Amino acid sequence: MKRGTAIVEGERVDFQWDAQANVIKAEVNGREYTLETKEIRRGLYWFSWNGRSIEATVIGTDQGYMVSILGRHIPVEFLDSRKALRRAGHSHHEGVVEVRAPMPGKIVRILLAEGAEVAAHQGIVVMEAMKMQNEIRAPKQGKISRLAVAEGSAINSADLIALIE
Amino acid sequence: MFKKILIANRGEIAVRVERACREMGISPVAVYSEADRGALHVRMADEAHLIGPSPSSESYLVIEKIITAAKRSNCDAVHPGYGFLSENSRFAQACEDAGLAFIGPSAKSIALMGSKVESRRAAAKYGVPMIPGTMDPVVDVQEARRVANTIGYPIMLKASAGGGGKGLRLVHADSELANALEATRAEAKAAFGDDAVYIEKFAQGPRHIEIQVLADRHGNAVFLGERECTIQRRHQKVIEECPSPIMDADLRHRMGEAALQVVRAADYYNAGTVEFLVDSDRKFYFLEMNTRLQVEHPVTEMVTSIDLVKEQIRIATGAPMSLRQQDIALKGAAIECRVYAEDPENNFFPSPGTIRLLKTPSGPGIRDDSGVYEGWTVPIDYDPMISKLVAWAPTRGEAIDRMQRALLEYQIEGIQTNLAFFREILDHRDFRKGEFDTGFIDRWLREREPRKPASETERDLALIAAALADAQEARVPPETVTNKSSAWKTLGRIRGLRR
Repeated sequence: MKRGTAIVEGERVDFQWDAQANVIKAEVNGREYTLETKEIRRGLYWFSWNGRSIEATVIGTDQGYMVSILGRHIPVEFLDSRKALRRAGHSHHEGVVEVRAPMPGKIVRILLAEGAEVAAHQGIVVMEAMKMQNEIRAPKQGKISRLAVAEGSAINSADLIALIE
Repeated sequence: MFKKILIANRGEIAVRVERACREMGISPVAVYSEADRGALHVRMADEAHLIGPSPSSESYLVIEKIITAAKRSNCDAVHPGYGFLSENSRFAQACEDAGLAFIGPSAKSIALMGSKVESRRAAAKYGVPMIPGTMDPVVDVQEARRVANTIGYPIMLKASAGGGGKGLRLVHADSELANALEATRAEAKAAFGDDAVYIEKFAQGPRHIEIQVLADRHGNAVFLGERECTIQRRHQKVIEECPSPIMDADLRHRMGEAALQVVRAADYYNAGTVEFLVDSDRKFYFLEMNTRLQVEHPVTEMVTSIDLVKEQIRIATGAPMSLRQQDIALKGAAIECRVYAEDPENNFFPSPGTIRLLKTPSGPGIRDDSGVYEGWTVPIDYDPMISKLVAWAPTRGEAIDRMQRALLEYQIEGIQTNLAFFREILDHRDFRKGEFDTGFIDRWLREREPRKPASETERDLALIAAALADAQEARVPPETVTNKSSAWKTLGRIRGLRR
């Protein structure tokens, strides 16, 4: 049996599973499943579960995987996979990193002050452009050594928002 | 007949025209920008010519580059598709000047119908019903008051230079008029540098219904029924159908005849569409004429069995049209959904990127006019429409059921699409009953219940599928992932490309 921990739609689950010939046996948070399966091609699987015919598509994303099943899109991330390790490696930037505006807009909210500690992917400011608001996030963990904008600032594409070291 | 046609467009409409060319024994020639290297319309053509960098202002919108490509490849005609240069009278003239047949109306007709003021004036002269109001800007508040009292409130104040929903103000009563007029004028002056404002009666519960016309250079003209285009979001059509659920033979005949009067007023030939606003009393008013093939033309083709692109090509050769009004009969019902690379759960944010999996629907009564393929990267530079899914059936109810079935079969992975959004709209009671106006989607988006979260079983099965894929990935090198952040960066470039 292979064991693992995953985040499924933001919720942590422990699971174990094993595949033999065309049958998968799995246990997810104590719930048991026996599935007949066929790999149609890479990333596309057919399951028969309790007589129900189900298709699942799995696409790799920068967060892990996006699974399309029964008309839904469900994100799945494995906490112990090589992928997570690789990603952790990516978000490690050396030295000072500049955070710049992706497009012209207006700063509508400051989330973190100058001097604050910031985690990788944590929001620094909220920017409005094309009538939509989006968080501008830190590319790496560190300290905001400079915040170059204030609430209400109008900024242009590629203007400096913050420095993180 | 033409031997070679250059298609001055991209995406699904270029593919659509290429198909008509093939069936007529004409060789299709494609043009493409750098972003469209290897695009479906390029792969399907006999010849393909690079016309410049990705921005359309440096490629698909450059008249000289397209004329040069057409001459170099010895084409005898040019099909403009829709959007881009299709309603540019200078382009139509440049084609004719270069000895290339332009598959569309004359430059003069395009120019006339392209002007908001001139087209209304021309149509009014031929007795086409107009929304009550003023043709010319109002001089002062006294005049505005006189007009408003004659046509009755509510009224709309409209900036002459306005467009895209800007410079509009709804006025409910006389007491609001003076202030509203002043405010609209100031706004128009600031936004367009022109403070001319005219008055129109405000239509209650408006629907957008358009009439397809075909006319040749010998004075023959026919109308091919209507298209119901009321289901819109931010003035963009989303679902179109033929026939309209509110139509009867009498109204269709009257609207068709009015459309033919517009054809006469514009001295029009080739395919065109006359757009009308229809109010809750089923009174109709002329809005504008689109002097080109329409995005939603397939619903008319499905119901009339007439290939509009082939008719356009035949008319452009100068031959008289063989179709007569009595030959045109509508059979059954057709619905079209415009499938977009966008995320309805995130304020319809555009979602360009690589299509990692594509399963298209088929079976009885289904037509998918697509411009993409699995592995294709939807470029950030153009309108993010992927395909037009059309369902035909003997009745409207069956066409909706068939569309629902096709939407279930349709699978696009790697980018976000609006497929699930259509399944919800098509299930809406009022849509099923055919009772809606142009505000339908905005109201529904405000009122709609949030979707139930995935069940435990759905989540568990998703996890098992992901575990299978992850185990395989450990053995095979990982694929490149789609870059999600690019969508935000490029939103601004994508907006405004929509037709």
